[in-house]
Amino acid sequence: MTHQDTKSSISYEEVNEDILSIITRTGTGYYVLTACLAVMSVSLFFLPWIYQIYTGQGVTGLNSQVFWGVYLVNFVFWVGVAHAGTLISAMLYITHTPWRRAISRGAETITLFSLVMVPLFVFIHMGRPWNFYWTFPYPSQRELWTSFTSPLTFDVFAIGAYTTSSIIFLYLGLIPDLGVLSRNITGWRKKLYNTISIGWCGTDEQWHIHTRTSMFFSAFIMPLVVSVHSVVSWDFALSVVPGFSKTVFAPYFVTGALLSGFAAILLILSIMREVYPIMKRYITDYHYDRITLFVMILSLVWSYFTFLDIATDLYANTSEGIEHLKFKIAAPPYLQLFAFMIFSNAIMPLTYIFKKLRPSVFGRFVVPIFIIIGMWLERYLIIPNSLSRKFLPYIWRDYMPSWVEISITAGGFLGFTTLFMIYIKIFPIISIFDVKKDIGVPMKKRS
Amino acid sequence: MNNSMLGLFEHADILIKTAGSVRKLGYEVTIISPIPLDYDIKRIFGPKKNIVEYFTGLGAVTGLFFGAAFAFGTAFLYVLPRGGRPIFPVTPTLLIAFETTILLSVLMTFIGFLIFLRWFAFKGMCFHPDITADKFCLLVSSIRGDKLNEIETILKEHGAYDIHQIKG
Repeated sequence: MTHQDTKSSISYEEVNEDILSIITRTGTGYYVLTACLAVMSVSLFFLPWIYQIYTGQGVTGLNSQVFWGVYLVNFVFWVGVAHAGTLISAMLYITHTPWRRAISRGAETITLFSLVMVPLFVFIHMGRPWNFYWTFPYPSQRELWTSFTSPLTFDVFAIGAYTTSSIIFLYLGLIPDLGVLSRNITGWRKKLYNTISIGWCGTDEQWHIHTRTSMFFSAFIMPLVVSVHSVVSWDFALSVVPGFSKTVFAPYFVTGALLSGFAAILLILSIMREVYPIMKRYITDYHYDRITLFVMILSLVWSYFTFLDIATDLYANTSEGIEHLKFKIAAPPYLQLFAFMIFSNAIMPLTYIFKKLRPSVFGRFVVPIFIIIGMWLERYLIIPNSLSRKFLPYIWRDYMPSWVEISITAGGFLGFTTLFMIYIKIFPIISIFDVKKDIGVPMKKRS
Repeated sequence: MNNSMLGLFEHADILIKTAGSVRKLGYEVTIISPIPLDYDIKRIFGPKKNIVEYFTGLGAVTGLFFGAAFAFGTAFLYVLPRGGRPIFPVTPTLLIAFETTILLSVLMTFIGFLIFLRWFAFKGMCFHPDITADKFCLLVSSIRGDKLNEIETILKEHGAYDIHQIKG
């Protein structure tokens, strides 16, 4: 059935074929790449972790003063990356933003696998990961209970709620597509799709419930987006450490999270478009125009909050605040890292002012990579940097990540990529029914 | 024996208009589509009741009380006097209650969604998924044997390009 009445020349059947081809057409290159990524991520992530558990936390660069290092930087980074997916799915769903439809599934997938990495880094950071259940409130014979006044307990509830909601939201959006997949795909996948599509047939009653449920989910997840990273920022802001104890941290972290998340979405979807050119029919220059504008606005807001972060210390003019600032922005090597961070997050996104640069290779690949590195550095410049320069000079200790921490960080990125690669061969990376909504409903009245 | 008739349509507006006409004759109709046509269906059939929102409300209220009870209850059971801090802290309690409100609302909404989605599947829809996949279809159910031709004629007159009879 072709749809001459719709606003696009693409038919519903073509949408099915195009998106299913990403799942079904798999070359040798994919298997080789995924296998390499899997082996590298296990080698770089799990083997050093096992070594760390066996030998002890001393293999890291952590010391008595800098007890939060690269692992917590990664934890905050991955929570941040997870945010943009939910913002695109939920907030732009409620506002009926049309350009959201082709990219929402990819964004939700990035959220899901970012949230897989988050608890891993908490467990790695713990040292004794088998005691992770101590973070949950359960009745124990020693009458010990988690402290509900601790921001670490806020983290458990906030990230737990966010992960659960994101997984369910992704699955909810997948259900209609699973119905399509179960009719169009054969082999081992058909049985999987039949089971998890839970009897989806596309009746008006089912669509009505699905639409209303998606609306409720979006409404509930939106405050979660803001609250989760605010809660993560309070891990630092609720302490008394100079450099941590800032009231601006909640909006600063949320904005930074959205910036890094959008950059990740931009980069990953650009790579996918190059590998699967069929996606260019659905993710067009218009989408890049909108996303890059979002990134530029977020960058401007982030720049403002960074200025506030520095300005409040200057205005307070306390000795510990000034020493912390000097160490963060004037002392090598942090001086260079700070300059790179400002260049990556505040200057590079300004290139999106030029419309021609937005869908270009520079706009799609170079700028997002800079932003991702810059946002990682932002967390690095907050966490171990602040702990290195606390109140009294005699307890100042410098921090340098060890090979174990660097390896696990790299393994984390590779693990994320591996999971993403596996996902795209099982579930559609573009929402089939959403794209059909974009194409339009075939109406006789228009002809 | 309950007979059903499945008509396939090229255009969604014709499908919905036909569904309205057939419904007025007293038949049970189901619209099947590859995308939601909520707004258009609402114009013809009126707003539909949504039961899932009650699950959401129940989840929200339960979550709120659960979170508050957790935080306040543990402070009551395991009293930990610390200098300068309240025994029953309000702000952390609000935060925990906020998170549990959202969590339980989401879980209950999803449970409600699963119950009512699956309920429609269990009703035993007598049509062929392989025929209806990705097409705009109208399923007319509970047709008496002598009325089959009448329904088939109505569907053809309204523009159905393919009609299947399904025996229930």
